[in-house]
Amino acid sequence: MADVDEEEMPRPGPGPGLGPGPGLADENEIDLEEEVQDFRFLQSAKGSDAKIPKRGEKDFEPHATDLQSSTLAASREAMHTALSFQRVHPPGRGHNLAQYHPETNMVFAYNPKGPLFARIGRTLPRGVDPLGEEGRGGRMWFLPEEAIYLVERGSLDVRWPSFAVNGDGGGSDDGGREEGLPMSLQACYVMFIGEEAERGGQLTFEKYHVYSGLKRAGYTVLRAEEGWGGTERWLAEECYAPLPPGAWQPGLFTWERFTRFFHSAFAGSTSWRSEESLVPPGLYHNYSEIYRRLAIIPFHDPTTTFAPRQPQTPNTDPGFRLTYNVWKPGNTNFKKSDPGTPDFRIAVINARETTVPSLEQISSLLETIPYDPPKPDGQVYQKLKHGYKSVILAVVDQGVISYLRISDAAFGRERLFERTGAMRGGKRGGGRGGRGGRGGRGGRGGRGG
Amino acid sequence: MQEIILPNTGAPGELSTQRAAETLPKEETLLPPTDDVKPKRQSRNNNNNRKKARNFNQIHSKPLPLETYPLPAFHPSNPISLLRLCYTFLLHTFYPPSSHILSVDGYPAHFSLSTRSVHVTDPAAVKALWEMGFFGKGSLSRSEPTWLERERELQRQARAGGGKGGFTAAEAVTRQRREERRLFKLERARVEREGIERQRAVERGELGVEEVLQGDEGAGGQSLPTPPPDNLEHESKGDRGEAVDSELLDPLLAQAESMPLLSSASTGPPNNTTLLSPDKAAARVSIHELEQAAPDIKNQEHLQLTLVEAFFLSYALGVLDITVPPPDQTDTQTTKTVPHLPPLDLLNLFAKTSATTKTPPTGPSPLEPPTIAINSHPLHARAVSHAIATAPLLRDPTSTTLKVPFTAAPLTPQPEALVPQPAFTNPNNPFLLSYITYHHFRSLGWVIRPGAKFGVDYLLYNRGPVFSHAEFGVLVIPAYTDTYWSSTAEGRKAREAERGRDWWWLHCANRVQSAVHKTLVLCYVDVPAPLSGDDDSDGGKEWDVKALLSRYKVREFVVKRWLVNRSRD
Repeated sequence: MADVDEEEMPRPGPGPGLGPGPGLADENEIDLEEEVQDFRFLQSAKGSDAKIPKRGEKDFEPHATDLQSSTLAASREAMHTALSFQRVHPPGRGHNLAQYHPETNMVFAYNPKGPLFARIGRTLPRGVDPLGEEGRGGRMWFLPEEAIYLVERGSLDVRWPSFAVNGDGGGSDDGGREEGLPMSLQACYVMFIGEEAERGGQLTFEKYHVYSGLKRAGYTVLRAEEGWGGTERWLAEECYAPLPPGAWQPGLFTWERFTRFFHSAFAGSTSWRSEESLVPPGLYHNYSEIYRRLAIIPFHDPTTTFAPRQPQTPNTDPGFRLTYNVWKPGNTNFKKSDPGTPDFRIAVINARETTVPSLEQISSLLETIPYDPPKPDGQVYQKLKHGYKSVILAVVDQGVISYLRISDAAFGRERLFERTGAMRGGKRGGGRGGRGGRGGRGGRGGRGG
Repeated sequence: MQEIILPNTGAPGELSTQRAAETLPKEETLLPPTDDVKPKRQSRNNNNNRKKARNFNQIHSKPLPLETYPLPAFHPSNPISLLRLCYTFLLHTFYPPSSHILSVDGYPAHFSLSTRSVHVTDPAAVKALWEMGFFGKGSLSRSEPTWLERERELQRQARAGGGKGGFTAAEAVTRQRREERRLFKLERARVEREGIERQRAVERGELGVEEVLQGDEGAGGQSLPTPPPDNLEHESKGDRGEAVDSELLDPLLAQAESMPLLSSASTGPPNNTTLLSPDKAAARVSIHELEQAAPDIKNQEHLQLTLVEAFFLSYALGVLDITVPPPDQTDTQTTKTVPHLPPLDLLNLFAKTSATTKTPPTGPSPLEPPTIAINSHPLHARAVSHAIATAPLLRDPTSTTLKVPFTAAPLTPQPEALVPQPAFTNPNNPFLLSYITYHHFRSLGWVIRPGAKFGVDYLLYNRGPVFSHAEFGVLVIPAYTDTYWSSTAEGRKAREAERGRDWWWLHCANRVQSAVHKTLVLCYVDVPAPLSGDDDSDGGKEWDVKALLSRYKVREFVVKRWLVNRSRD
């Protein structure tokens, strides 16, 4: 009788005074990044224990009490102390010197030290490296977004190219390479984002913002080739559904077809005029027959979208292209030489220049994603939410990033009328024709609701 | 091999008692169904409730208002079952029962232009349509048409002198729960204010710190109140399925038991009876007048079906018989009705009713019953009040009539004509887009209901609103992939009105859905190009509704918010 939706939603949290505010119903939906952290916890937790500092308590309006204003002052003081810490490049071996390469708008460094560099930067193979063969093995190249990120973090000391760059003699301590002028962070932004377009690059501020956000969270982020210009790639075969094996479909002759044929032959064909009604009055043995008659709307089925004979190039809208391949921080299978399948695929979208994608835009974007079906024997809701293909849209709105996971859920493949009840388990009766086979349903018939 | 298709919920049998005369064999392991005897196993709601528990599994056992006749089971070890099977088989062959036995000529309904909906007033039809598929909404109730029962309950309470018992409508439960929560919030705000006041007093030096601590432990009212417990939920458990309640109640109970913020002493849960008494007293006072009378109440409520639902019931299932008043009579008169409209004309009618024309036609439409007539021109109430507000002052205060110049026009756009036209309408019609989505999800087995209360177009339920929360909220977005819409001039013009939505709209919709634990589904409906040459070939080519509907294509996407910090492992 009651509309269950009108009932009160369960509110998680320890109590009315603590926890998330009344507007946020689900703990999982709260993004800690959106809350301003309390720097006092940072000070107290320095070094000794590695706990993530908690958020402080939130006051919603000024109380004009000394307690509140002193708490605010203490937090502000802690924040200033934390930010005023001076960061220096560690002397000696920890100092990673890098050089800017103007022709390709990239940065290279020789054997940088640090655990960070296991997942960032790459060495170019023979023939691709613009500086030739000498020292190629130890020379690590960094893409523009990687360079800005490392400089911002303080892990890399990027220098402008010096005038006297010669490999022989030189008389300097670095074995021939003179150190150039240091490149400031501002200069990095200018060269890698501001002037990127003129140099044929593709990095925009939105893409960099997404990159740095993900890197700070610990993910491994590499460029996906489709979204950065360059050569058009064919759509790989993995982007399509696999062809089904075999041609014989079981269940062609089912009991219900037999009875229906028999009955219609006797009772005279009720002329099924589709003008009158989709489900004309007649004899139906079960609701599945009725529902099958109702299914007249075609839907997109990703399991039957097979690879065409000729490989095709994707015709994606430039505003909706795959930008990054992302691996989780705990993923131990990642190697620079063989990254493996990415855990997530991100497409960076500028919210101010685009609108909610149309069907063509989103379908051509999903075409470039490999096919990833859910488990066939899973729950209905899990299968629908997992979808057959999925992509994460990073919608950047003037510096505020929102991630939306769009997945191609084929509702048409989940026929609810065939799986009603918790105990159905996918049993299908129409495997064999004729009578006398199995003993029917056994004791299952009498179960309650 | 005997294929047995069980009824969907396993409720006792599909056969109603009215047809016992046909001596169709019943399922042997299922209990015989009767309407007044409830099977014993349903009393899992074993509370000491006064009223009978409603077994939703039994009431809503049929997903659609049609009847099915499964063949009985076949056991190879039992020869009698073979005989029964043959008997049923032959009976079905020579005397086939109809699936539309419950609605032999269709449930009667009539189309109402002023409300853009279809009304059903026949009580049997109302009951059948709600119970078998959750179609429609009671016009005076929240969803299920319960107005008559609520009125009868009020009268019964008046005659019995008050006291709870009998039927408790969901609306009353909600009202009480909201009242409790409001009081709880007031209490919480009061406690917080007192805490701040004390803090200020401490700082001003008026109150010593020891006194503050004493105050915390002594007075019981200083602690934050716990949220109201769920006695109310327990009482009305009989009204709802138990499984759903237990999931919802547990977090609330856990919350109630957790320690409040400030001090150790906690007040007991607010006395439930004190919260209920204002309600009861009010009820007692208001229904004293009704004590004397005990006449039967005429049901003022009707079941309101949206145009989409009505078309589905009428065309797809064929169980609804919609009467449409001809254009020269208003809704209130029912002297003559047009004969039953064929589905194509019905489609045209609904499509035209749903389309809003950009320029409203001048002059009032004869269909609309005039709300107020001033200067013998029918006007809408809003126009009237505007006209009165801007009217010049009366010279003569003793004159009783107010003369207002006619300046206003009807506010809502009216469709051009009620008479269906043979030409087919623009496929880019909002009714058709909604209908395509509705039909698509119904044909898969979902119960789909309007989702305006959660800011979406539709809500999808697994079995129905009484069983579980809706899991999905559907937004319908048209898509124009056909070359007609991008290449031809008129196609482009027709598309102009449908600009892309901006991202903030999508973020809003997504946030609302996640706050109510639902998943957002974007349903793109691919609109085909309009049919060509339908103006010329009037009777030449017969358009088939099924063919028209099959030209559309549906694709769904599930949208979920992805959190950076939560997806690390």
